[in-house]
Amino acid sequence: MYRRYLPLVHGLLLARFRPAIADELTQECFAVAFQRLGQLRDATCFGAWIASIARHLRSPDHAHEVAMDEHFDVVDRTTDPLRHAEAAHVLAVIRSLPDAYAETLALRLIEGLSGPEIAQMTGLTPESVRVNLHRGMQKLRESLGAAGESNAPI
Amino acid sequence: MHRSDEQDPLWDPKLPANAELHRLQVLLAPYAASRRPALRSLPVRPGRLRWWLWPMRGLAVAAALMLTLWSLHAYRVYWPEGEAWPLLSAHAQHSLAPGERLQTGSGETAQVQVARIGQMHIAANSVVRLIQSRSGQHRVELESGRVHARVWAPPGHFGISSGALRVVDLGCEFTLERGADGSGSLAVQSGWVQQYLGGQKQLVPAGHALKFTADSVDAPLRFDATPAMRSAVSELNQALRTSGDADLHERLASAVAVAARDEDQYTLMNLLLRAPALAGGALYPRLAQALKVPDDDTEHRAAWQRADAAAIEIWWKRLPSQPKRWWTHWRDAF
Repeated sequence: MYRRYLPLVHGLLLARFRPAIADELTQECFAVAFQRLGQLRDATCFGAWIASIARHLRSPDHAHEVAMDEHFDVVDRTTDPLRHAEAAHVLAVIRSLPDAYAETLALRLIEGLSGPEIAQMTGLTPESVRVNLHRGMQKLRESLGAAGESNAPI
Repeated sequence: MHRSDEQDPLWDPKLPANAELHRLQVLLAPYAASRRPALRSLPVRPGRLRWWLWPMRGLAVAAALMLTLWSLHAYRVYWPEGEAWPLLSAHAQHSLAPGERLQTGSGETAQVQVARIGQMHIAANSVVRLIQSRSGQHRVELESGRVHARVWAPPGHFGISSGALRVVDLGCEFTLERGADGSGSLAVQSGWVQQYLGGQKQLVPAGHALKFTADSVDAPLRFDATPAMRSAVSELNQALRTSGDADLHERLASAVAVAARDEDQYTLMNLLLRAPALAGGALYPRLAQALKVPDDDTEHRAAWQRADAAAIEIWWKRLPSQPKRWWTHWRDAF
């Protein structure tokens, strides 16, 4: 259960928080979910249920101590620091998008979930996911200044 | 299915991505949950204990505590048969084994560990012999001199004999002294002891002392008994041993009743237990007054004169401390 829904919870939290905080809140989210498991009436709705818990989590009090700098959140320090900076910038731009777009893009671009997986786990319709993906991607492009680079479907 | 599903790599990550999508995926991949070390293990959070688990946790703690106390107690009272007791003070002997004697000279004392249940301090010019030592049964003989013992164990584990007199510990601290002529004294500082001589036995509570000879034992007196009380009790003890004159007994008992204070209730009870017939005189109402019970119960008084156990038990239970509560003297364990 944890392994299956980990990308969902982590992706949703990455859409709102810096990675180190998202890591911590992911653990918190599962701990809360396991504690309240008795409240879940329909096991098939676990994804939507835990997604709701993740969306209601707040930043911990010590968040400013957890990640003062986005650069420290990157795990792999063997690669180019410039790439780290660029990745942190893209992530920050994704977080600045409306929640619906930010969440869908984080699940797709970071966690590698497919459209159908996102729909099935979050309880959204496939059409909504598709719209959020494409509109989110468009917004991301605009924000990154790459809107005019290509009009072809990605 | 959407018409463009088969061509849309944004919808299906298995399809080959264009350059932009590929670049974003590679760039952001280190942030994925699968690459975060902190997420490799299941979440552990010290959750709040459910309300209905509190009593169970309390019971578990209590059970663990009881088990620990029981184990400590079992270890404390266990002693292999025949094993010697170590000496805690410097002495020519290092231990005292069953059958062995320990003798102290002038100005010399010795401290002996009584198995694991207590200690025994042997005064100067004393001779003691360890008769027997095993779990629940540790017996010493005081041949002469003075011994101070502090024992914390269930009743009967430790005892000292001194000539015909035997003293059995009921979880307590006491001092036993014996002279060359076989007479001596017993003083109980804590708890109770059971004292035997011939076919007689009596309980002696903390704060009381008695004198004994080779063949007789006086009634216990409080440490702070008045001289008048001591004298009156001594005369009554003597008369009870040597004379069959009931009138003399009654006169001396009346003198004891006059000299007694309420605190002397155990001495009064002991005298009435030794000679139940004295309940017909002044001792009975004096003890009733000390125990704060009515003295006009003629049936009870008559029953006491017959040495009726039930009648005696009613007043015995009025005494402020009881011999079977040895564990209440837990301080003696240290």
